[in-house]
Amino acid sequence: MAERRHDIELMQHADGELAKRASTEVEGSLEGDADAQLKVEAIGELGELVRGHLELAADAVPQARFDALWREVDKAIAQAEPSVARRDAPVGLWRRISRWFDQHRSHIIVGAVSAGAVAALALVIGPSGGDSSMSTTNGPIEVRPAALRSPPAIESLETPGGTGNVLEMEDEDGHATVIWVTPQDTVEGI
Amino acid sequence: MRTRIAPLLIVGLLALPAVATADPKAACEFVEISATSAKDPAVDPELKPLDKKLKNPPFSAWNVFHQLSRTEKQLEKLKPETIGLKSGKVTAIFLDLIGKSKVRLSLSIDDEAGKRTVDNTKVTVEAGDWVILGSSTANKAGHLTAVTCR
Repeated sequence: MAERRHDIELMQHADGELAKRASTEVEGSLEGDADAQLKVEAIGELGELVRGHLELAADAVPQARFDALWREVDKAIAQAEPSVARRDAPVGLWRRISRWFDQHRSHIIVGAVSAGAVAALALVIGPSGGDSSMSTTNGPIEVRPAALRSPPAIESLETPGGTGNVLEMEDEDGHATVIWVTPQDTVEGI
Repeated sequence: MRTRIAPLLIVGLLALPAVATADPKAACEFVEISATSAKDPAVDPELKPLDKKLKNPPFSAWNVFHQLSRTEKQLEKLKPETIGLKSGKVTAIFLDLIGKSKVRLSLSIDDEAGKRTVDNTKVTVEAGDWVILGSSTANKAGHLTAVTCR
């Protein structure tokens, strides 16, 4: 029992865990005890071995983490490479047009909506006709001022079973073309 | 999703000019008028736009003008439209828009007996001006069909 206690004290002494006084006593007892000195040296070597191993283990943990991180980075790069390759590869005209529209989508939508709104307003808020002295537009057909209008033109006149006469008249309201038909069986016409 | 939006936008943008340049329609009025003579002259107020013209020959032979019917019709280009009258019918075709203000029309008139008195007569008239097709009837009255488009 006393020898076991002595061994514990030797280990504590080797590890520097004893108080100064107790450590001095142990050192004194070692002077004449070759076996105890051998034990202390063995305990010291063992302690060095343990500390060395622990330091190596401590160094190994961050390295393992770094290795894992690099593996993740390499994996991510490997996954990104195909899309990069696709982007750099020659693409067709349609793909380029689509990409351009994708990049300018917001501008195109704003422009198209604006153009549609303007077209709708132009259709809805069209000037109405009525005053023949004013140049007005009802849809695509423009009503010019009466003074600027050219007289009507008859391209062809067919009056089956009668005779046709064309008369022109003009006043401040505009022109009128009169096509007067006199049936052949009318004894007295105009 | 983006690749679906792009073609739709292209179609929409291409369709805008097509809508803007769609064939115009001509808004035409067909006014049927009876012309007679009486002691007191009378012209229906609805005929005010034609009042001055009705005072000129050959209409000055009469002094009473009544509106028998008035029909407004949107004429589509090259689509014949038949407008019924109190006495007969008129068939009109909007042939073309010349420039911005001239309407080219084809006009045909059938009398109340179904006899065609005017057949496919082509006339180009400024928007707002009138084409008046008329004939005298057996009782010395007149029957007029006035057409204007805008």
